[in-house]
Amino acid sequence: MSYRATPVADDAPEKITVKGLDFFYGDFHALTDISVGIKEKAVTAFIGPSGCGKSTFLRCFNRMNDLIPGTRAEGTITLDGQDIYATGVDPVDLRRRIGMIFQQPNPFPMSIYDNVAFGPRLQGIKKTELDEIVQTSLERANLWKETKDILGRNGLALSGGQQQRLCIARVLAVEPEVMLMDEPCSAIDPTSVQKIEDLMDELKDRITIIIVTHNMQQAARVSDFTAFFLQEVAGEAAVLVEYDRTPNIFTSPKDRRTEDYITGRFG
Amino acid sequence: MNKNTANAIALTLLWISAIVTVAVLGTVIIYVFVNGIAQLSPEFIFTWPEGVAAEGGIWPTIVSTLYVTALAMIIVTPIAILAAVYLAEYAVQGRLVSTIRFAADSLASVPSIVMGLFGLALFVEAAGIGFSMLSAALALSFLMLPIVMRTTEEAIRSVPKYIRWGSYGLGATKWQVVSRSVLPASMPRIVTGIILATGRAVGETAVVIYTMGQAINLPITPFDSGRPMTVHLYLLAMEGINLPAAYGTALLLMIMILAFNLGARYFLRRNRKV
Repeated sequence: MSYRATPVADDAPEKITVKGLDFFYGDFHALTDISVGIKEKAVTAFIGPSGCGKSTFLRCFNRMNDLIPGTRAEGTITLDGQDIYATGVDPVDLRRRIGMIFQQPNPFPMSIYDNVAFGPRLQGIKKTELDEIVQTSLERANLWKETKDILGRNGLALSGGQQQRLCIARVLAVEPEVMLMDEPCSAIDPTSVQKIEDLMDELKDRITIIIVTHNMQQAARVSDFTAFFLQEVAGEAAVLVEYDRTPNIFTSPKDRRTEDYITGRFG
Repeated sequence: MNKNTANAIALTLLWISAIVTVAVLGTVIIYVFVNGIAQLSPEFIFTWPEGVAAEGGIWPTIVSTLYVTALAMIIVTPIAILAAVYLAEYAVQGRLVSTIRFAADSLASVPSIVMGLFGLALFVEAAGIGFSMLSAALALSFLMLPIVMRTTEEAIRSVPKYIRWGSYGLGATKWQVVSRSVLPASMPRIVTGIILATGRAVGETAVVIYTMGQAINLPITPFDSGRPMTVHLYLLAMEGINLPAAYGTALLLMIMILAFNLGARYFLRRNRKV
């Protein structure tokens, strides 16, 4: 396996700090006592078997779970030291700072241009500035060359991989500090996966990335840190088993369960 | 009876049923077409009826029909869409919402002649609007409202979750999600619902006969009375005034309604293509 060339410094600041987080869907206790510090301008991967709550955990960071009735989170998550679940925090403002990419590429049924301009328009950015934002965002998502002559075409006309990069451009257009990626490559072809992984490497100079992935090779390739989640007993809350620098997780895991998982004994 | 015989019998029955269905529809269309086609001409469409036998054209009735339909559509569309947005997006799903939905479905199945009577009592008489485009449009809107509201609600509900989440994920407020993502994504189906309801209104007779009056008028303001094509057709045929003109009117009505339905299909298809 190949790992990221330049390791993140040990004293790199934490962008997001989670302390003692428990999460519930109604009566179902999904996550228990999760504590983790997400380093700024690094890529952190969440791995674990299906149903272990890693996507649920990811959605806590931009309070997307608020949209699911009957859910609640206990414990604290801070972004730059500020509790995002504190009263007075508007989830709408939070989601502007923390962008999200979904498993299924989800361009809106409108033109490529309008897709990218969607976020800036929500904030009332002036029309005259939009052209530049759209171009810059598409360039940063490595999609400009392919789309500069077809900006008026419907975003759904693009290939799956292009659609996912369009979604990344759409998120970049609102200049988020953090980008959450929920299995962004599981529904697209291998060539496009390569492009998106390269893209993550370029983007992490400026933003903090958290990626949920089923694919351990991908986690090893793209991430600086890896967190392994596990629901040990069906129907019970999942736990964070181990969290460390990615090479450590994959070469010398401290926990037996992590080792079993990465060597393919279950999951 | 062996399997092959049963198969053959089933197939024959299916064939016969299909042929009967098509034949009935075909007979009606051909009958009206054969009897009405001789009438159709620019003069028939663009001139006024003349004399006791209503010779000549039917222009004022066409205008009355289009006028009242357009007016009803303008009244219905905003109310139906806002109600549907509320029901689908904002209302707490529970008994109240199910009741509203049930009421809308029931409203859609009220016989139109009852709606006409209601329109007569409420708008023509009680509100004092009199026989007019407005009275008829309001009564028609009762008929169209549940259709447009329910199709809009279904359209809104069918917008995939990932479109909403994508929108929320970019920092959209609830209203921004609804107005900028959900409604545009469901617009083709909403427009289709409006067109279908409008087609229904064009062909409606019972409601307008009570509320628009029967005088052959070219309506200008919403308070003018008039005679819609359906009522004209009814009077020409039932009182034996001018049967050929009745068939001509019928054919034109059918063509208009067909155009509405084709329009709805075209709109849906064009938007489905990317």
